[in-house]
Amino acid sequence: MLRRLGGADLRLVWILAASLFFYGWWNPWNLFLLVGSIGFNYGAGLVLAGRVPAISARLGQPVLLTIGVVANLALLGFFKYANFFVDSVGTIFGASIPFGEVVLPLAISFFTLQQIAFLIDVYRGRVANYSFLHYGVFVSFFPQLIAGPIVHHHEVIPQFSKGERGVPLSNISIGLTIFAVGLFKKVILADTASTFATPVFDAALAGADPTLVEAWGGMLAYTLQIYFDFSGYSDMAIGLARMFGIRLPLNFNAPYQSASIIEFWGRWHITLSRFLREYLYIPLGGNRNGNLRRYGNLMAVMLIGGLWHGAGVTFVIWGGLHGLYLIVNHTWRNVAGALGRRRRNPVPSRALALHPALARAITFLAVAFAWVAFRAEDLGSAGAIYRGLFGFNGISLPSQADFLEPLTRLVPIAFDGLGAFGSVGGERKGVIVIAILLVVVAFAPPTHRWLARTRPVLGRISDPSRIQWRPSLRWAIVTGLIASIAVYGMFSGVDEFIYFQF
Amino acid sequence: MKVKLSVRVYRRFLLGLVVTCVVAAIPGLLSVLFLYRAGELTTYRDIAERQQETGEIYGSAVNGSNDLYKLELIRVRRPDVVVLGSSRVQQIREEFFNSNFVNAGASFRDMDSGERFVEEMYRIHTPKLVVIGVDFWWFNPLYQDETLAQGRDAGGLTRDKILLPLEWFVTGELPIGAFARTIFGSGGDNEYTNQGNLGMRALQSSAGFRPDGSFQYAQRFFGLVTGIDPKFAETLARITGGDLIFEEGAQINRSRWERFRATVEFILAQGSEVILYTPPLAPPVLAAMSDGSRQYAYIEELQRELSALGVPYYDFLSPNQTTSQVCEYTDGIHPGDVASQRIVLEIAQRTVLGEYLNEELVREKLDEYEGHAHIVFDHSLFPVQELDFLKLGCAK
Repeated sequence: MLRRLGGADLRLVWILAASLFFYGWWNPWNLFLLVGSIGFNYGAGLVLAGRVPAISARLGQPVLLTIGVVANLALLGFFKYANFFVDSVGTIFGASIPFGEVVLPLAISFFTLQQIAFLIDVYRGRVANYSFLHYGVFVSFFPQLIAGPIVHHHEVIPQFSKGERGVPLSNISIGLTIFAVGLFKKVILADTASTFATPVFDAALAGADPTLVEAWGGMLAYTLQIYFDFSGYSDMAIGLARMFGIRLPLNFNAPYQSASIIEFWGRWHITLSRFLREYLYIPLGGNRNGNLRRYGNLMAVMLIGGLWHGAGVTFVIWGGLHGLYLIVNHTWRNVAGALGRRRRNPVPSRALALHPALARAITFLAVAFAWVAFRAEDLGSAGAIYRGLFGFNGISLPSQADFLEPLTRLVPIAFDGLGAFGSVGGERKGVIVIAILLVVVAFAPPTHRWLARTRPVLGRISDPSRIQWRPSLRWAIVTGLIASIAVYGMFSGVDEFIYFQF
Repeated sequence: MKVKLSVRVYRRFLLGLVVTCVVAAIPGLLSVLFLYRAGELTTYRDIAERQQETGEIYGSAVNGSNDLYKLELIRVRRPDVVVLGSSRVQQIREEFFNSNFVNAGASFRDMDSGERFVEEMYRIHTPKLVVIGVDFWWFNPLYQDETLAQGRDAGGLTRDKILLPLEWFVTGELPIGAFARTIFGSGGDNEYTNQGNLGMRALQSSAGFRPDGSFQYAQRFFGLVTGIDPKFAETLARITGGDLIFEEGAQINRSRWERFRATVEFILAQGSEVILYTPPLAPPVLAAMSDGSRQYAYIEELQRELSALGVPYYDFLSPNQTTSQVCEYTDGIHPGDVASQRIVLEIAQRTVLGEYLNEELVREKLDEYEGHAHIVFDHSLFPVQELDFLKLGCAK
């Protein structure tokens, strides 16, 4: 309506005001940080683009870019890593360093990355002239401000001027549908999985040693929780943005259906992977300087990716594990390629390829294994769960499984239940819920494929689902029921989005 | 033309979506309506005020803060006499008193909650006499005080309450007839009593708080809920099972004792008189605790400390002090109406409590209801006889 009344800019002013209000709701003081960061980076962009010749001529573009990037990283580093750094130094020197607790402002990891990418693109000459209003909306656009997707300026800013062609009701219909699915994923699926994951990790933190099935239950439940939580959030962001006529990039593409870790990183948190590839991996040299250098680059990128999620050894381990997985995956490809290409007795590629189902299962388990370190609050609890996964903490099953008693001649098994797993939601329910959700992540098409015809995200969707959403009465009822179930689910409490903490 | 068609299609989709959401919202709206009609959305202050006018029983199934409710009763009734303690003091009734009285039982559950309640009470009103029923486990070194940081439910509609009636409905706790009667009927009555009722629990069986704050275990007395603590088996199992309130202990927790003493001094400093007593346990429970298999030296230390505190103290924990019969208990740790009135009479004969008590009525009712847990003042309100709900073979 505002666009009709006063043109596109008035609509953008309203979106900017709404976005700032949304951000300030958590902590109004953080608004100074966000607005200051936007102002600084927009100004830095102008200088880098040569719009302030006096400064750019004196310092030169490389220096200006370095100043801009370092300033952003310093801000992020202070808020995100100061506590960790001070605690670590204190631990190393055995002294308590008086230093107040620095509270991490919401979304700082996301808006900092977007703006670093912007500055680098200005330096590379890939940025058109944007108005401050457009830039401000690009950084603060509330649907994706808090937890992504991490968008490129060239993906969304042009949409601000053009606006969405077509009928606004279509955007509202499509946006509401995607939003409802995202809300359902978060409230019903992620939060249900959380009731089985959290007790296991909490128990390990409190000093318990999870037994085999308990540890596996906790690991799988968290693996499902984080997927539905984050992909739910991304759907909600994409849906909400669509209601404003803005298309966001895809962030999840059924990652647990990946047949390799390389494929996984092309499907999980796609916009972060893209950022790390374009602004870290490739500038480091990428795969241009031999395999050894490539592996080093991969490991470095994944370790930094881990640290980006949080200041803690457990995040570094998570990143390190994924770095290792990628190295193994690339090595396997190289070896397979070499064997297939050799002149004498070449090995057919089919003979070296794993069965797709096996490849998917191995990839899924590797990813799930790494999530343990990601979720655990300290090394001790991560270690306890890892020991449990390999059976070092013993095996305990529910008393209903006593028909397995003959097995106790081979392996010592207690029938004392599954410990913390299911202590909130019930053991049997836990097993059933995890089994159902595993089937969903293994086979169900993700949201964007159901809506492929509506072009729900930027870019082309190559593999649309056979069943397609349409603005029909039947789909209206389905969407309404999904939304209603999610809203009912909210009445029994909602966990905070996992990625809000990053 | 194509665009217009498109608009129509999307308009129909959105209409369908809205209609679906509205239809899906109906159970939720009925649930809220049920809570409203059941009195579960009424604020504590309104409940306290309304009870004084109507005499209704307040038994909530969704509101969890007895403290705030009791504070409102104190604000409304401006009592001369207040009884403090845990749920074990809740059978002392206003009918036996000559002046304004509030039973604030269940508000002093341990030192954390007790300190807070006393402080809040004196911000509202200063009673002339405060009677505190002291539970021995408050001073057990292993007992954990509740976490006050968890906050209190201030009543009214909150997110987690909205779907509770639907949950009760699904689990069978709330029959469809009762659901519909509460929403569409006049509500307020049940088959067990002729009292007016507020709140889901009260609507079911008139279980809940009377207008003076004392509690009525109607769900047990008249048979809605059966099988609770038969022959005190559950309480006896709690003793041997190491339940927190029955943990052994050699010495009292000194810091809690000092806090209790400071609380008593605070009450005295406000100008109120204080009487302390340790509420009794059912005789078989007390016997099980005293059989020598478990060590409760800290209770004896507590009794010594209470005696030396300089305010009147009456010990009903020792076997020779209580004259109650087993049939006069609600369960192993809660004395019923008769057992509680025996305590009140005994204290009144030796202290200032006598000035506030109608001793003649107490004696009359004790004679009439010997061996019962529940005392009736108005027979028209209670058409159903008290049952032998503890399965002890009591003649009721």
